[in-house]
Amino acid sequence: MMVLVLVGVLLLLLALEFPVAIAMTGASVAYLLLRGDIPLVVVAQRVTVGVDSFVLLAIPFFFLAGELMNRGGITQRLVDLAQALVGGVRGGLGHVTVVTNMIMAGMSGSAVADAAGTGAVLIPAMEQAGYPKTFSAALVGAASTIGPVIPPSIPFVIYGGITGVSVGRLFLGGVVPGVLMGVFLMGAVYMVAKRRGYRAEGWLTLSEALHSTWRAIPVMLFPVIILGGIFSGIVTPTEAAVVAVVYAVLLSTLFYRELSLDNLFSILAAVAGNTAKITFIIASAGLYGWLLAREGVPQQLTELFLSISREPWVILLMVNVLLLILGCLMETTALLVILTPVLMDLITRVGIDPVHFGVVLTLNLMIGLLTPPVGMTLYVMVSLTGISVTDFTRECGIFMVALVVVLGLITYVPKLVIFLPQLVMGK
Amino acid sequence: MRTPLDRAVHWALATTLGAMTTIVFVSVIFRYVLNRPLAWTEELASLLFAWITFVGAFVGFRSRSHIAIDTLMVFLPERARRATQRVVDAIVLCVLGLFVWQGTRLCLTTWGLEFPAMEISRGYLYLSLPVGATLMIIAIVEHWHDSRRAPAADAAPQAGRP
Repeated sequence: MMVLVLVGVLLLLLALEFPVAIAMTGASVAYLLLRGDIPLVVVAQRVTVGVDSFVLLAIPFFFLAGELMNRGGITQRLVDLAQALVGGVRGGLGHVTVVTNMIMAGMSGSAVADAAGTGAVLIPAMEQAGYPKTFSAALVGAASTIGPVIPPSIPFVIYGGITGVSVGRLFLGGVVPGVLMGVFLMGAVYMVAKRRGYRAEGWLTLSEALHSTWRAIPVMLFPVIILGGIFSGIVTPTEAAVVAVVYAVLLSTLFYRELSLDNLFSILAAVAGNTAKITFIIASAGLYGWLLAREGVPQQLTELFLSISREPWVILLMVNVLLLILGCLMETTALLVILTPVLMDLITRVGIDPVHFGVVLTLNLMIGLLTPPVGMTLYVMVSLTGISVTDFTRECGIFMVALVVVLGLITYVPKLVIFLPQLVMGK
Repeated sequence: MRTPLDRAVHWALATTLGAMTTIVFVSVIFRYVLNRPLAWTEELASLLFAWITFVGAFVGFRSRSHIAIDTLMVFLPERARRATQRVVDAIVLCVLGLFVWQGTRLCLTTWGLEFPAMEISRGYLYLSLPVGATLMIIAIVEHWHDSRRAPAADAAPQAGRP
């Protein structure tokens, strides 16, 4: 009965447009007041302890790395490189968009930062080349969802922080699915390009291509530093993120010379503010999740699922459909922090690998970034280009189909996810 | 409209994030290059992270850009939506007030406990919540004040950046 208060009040407050963090605390307080046997001081205690975690520190650092790349001229170098690699295929700049986002994904951990950064460079370029704005906006949005699946990744850090699953394993597990997303999106671009008669931009001359590649070499060291550092065991994911930040600062101040100290200061302040928007929710989820667990909600949900089926593939199907629906209605981080602890019980009971599930969950939630009414990437692209939500959604349809196909693939062929972590880090 | 408080928070956030970055980087250098791991760096960085979380939330409240879900409220007529917004704000203030009250209590009761490596009071961690919540309360009040003077500033909440 009391559990209805916890869930019902949360839904009510969310519907009334409460800040998500306050809605979670508010629901918890209502529950505590009605029960009356737990002292209210747990509110302050659980909320503070909710962010007292070294793993979560990777969030501002990966944010910062992405922001520095956008402002320090690094993103532009990536676009040049991608142009040299795939500009000559039919639908050239479309493929450039996908490849840029795949490389960017190896450095930044946030889909929304990727969308804003690559969109600012690529959409004007595509417009100049004659691509309709709706196409470029939809494609940049869809391609940016690769960001958190190819490591590093903020959602993996959050998932790992909540469940205790190794963030390194999750990072490795995301590699193959992320590449698949890129391949399928490029397939979709090719189909659209052929049907609408988009042409190729033509290959660059050899010297131009070499020049772009040469200029981008320092940038390509990012993934090497981050992933190499983590998998060789030299640094933790959090520390790797810091090393990436320091490298980005050096690169953009000393090498490309596009960042001043003044800029750096305002980037730091902006990133801290944007970090707080997410981590304040994680803090409140520390309280809310604890109460949900006390009420036995995870177990009850597990029983409900198990009463329908005990087959892992049916469970995964149900969870995926549920997440896709919730992903349309709710904000990604909020969903991740609320659902992860609730679903873990179910996942382990039916014997699904938690690394596999983490990657499936993340890819699923990334699709939610593109869907109205609540999709952060959708809104970034719409405000960046001025197209309507409806146009974006219509144009994004084929790309979303591509992403859902990849989701299906990695859901039902777990090897695609868990092969690499097991190969590198053992069983 | 930027108040001195806005500037102070802006400055504090940038400095804290900069310090956090430096601390973690230095700890990597000490452990991996100098082979002399520092015990206190993780504790201090996590402590600063809590402060960034709660003080940084001021920014979201100040500019009304915290993450909220407007899926249903957009269907309300503008006036009804504004009226609801006032009620919501009042309840938000109560929750924040609870943070200040219970956070201060927690801070006082834990003042005698210490972080194992840093050997400073754990109260510095718990202090971040009441201080941050106080700032958030000020942010809401300031926002009311601003929007009374210039109603156009009361824009719809914009997207956060996960």
